[in-house]
Amino acid sequence: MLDSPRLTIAAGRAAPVVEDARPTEAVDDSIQRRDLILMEQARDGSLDAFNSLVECYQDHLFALVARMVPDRDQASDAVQEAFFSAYRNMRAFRGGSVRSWLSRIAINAAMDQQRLKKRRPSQPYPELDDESWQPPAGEEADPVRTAMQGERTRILNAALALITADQRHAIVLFDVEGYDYAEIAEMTGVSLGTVKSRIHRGRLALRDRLEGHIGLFRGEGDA
Amino acid sequence: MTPIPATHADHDPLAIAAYAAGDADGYELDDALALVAGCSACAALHHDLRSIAAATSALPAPVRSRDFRITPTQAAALHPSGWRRLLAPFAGPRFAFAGPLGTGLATLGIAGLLVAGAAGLPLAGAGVVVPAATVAGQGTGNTAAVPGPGADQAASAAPASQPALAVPEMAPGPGSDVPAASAAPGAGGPAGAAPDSGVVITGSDPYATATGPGTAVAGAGRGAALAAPSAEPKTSDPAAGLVAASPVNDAVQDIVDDAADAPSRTTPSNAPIVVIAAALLVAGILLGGLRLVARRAA
Repeated sequence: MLDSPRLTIAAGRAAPVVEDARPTEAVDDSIQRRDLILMEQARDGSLDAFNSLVECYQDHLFALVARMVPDRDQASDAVQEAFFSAYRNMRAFRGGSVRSWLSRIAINAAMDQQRLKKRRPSQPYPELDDESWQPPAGEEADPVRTAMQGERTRILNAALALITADQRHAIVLFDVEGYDYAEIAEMTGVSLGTVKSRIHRGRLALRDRLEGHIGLFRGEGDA
Repeated sequence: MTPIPATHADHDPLAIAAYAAGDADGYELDDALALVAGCSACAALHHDLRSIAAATSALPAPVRSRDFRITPTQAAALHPSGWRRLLAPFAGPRFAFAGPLGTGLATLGIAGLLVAGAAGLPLAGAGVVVPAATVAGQGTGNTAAVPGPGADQAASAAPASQPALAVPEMAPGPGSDVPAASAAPGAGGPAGAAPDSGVVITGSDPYATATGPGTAVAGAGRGAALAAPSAEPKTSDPAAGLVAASPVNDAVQDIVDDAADAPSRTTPSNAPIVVIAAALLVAGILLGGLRLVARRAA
């Protein structure tokens, strides 16, 4: 019975999928259920329920917007505006993932902020070097490696700030946030080919901006 | 597969970028593979692009610097109230057509008004010719001087040899709400005046004209004009200052009287167009304005 070919096929096919998917789906389900309950309460007028949602997603939304809008203050304003907009338009929520809904509102707010900046350019305050989050150093942490990682992050953020906003948005949404081309096309209102082109051209532009520091990044893609 | 150029500068970096992202297929993939295999610089580019993509994915999340929870005061301000609540439906996606529609209607309205106005513009004039000695005007402006005593009011002197001043019949034109104000076409330059002129007649609207039997005085020069007096003279109306002290003034007064008797420039033929165009313009402005205000309020 153990030699049955059917069992071999079933074991080989199903096991990894079950191991990977089950816990994730369960977590996603519970999170989504919680979000929907909070959203329902917020719609009924509970500000605390809405603020619970804010607490859940403010870190994620700020991380998303701060990469799209290089200026920290403008990113903060965009996130705040996104939450205001979500609060005002709670009735427009048609179900589904609250996280995706909030992300889309935040992306729109970030793009609006960039358009506003394009119309009224301003010189942002210089960023502090130590603002990026760093993983807690373990006992075995190599100081050289940590310093290299910090330097890479600083240089890459600076290079990202120098490419065009459209290219930056596409790269952040694809590389950092993990959206696929179709989702990015829908969010940004452009065609699939344009999204691909922006990502390809954006990476080429990043490589030009990183000209003198490219050695720091070599070997990253081999992992 | 296209032949690969000899120098790296002629190689297509976008094909390498597409290949590095895993998006290349067909001929582009073949080209990219050949470039990476045959050109060390392209191979380095490919490697760098993959490294950059990996580094971008591994960027640490920026830490927020403030709390975004909404205070009760902010929440109260965010709730639409009063007129904002009334406007709220117009700010929604269901009313998104209002902006383009309003713009379109307003454009049609403006176009209609322009068409109606163009239909009433004078193209040529063949009217009364006033002798040269009667009214002289050389200037290109919208003022013309009528000879008379008191040269202190003249804007400028015209040469005595100036030929006669044509008095064309004016076709209907826009701006009919200003009764009987008339001026010659082409007005718009400096004033012309007779040597002994005492009265300056100014037409403030270079296109103002009388219709029907009415006539207006046109400068024989580069567009000197004579404005007819308003049917309801005002203190600011220069024509009100006409001094009928000479035969010249009498002649001018006759012309001016004719112009004053002229009916409005909106003729029955173009009146419907004007009305419809004005209605479209108003509707478009209202629609677009409503959408704009609603979105601002939201």
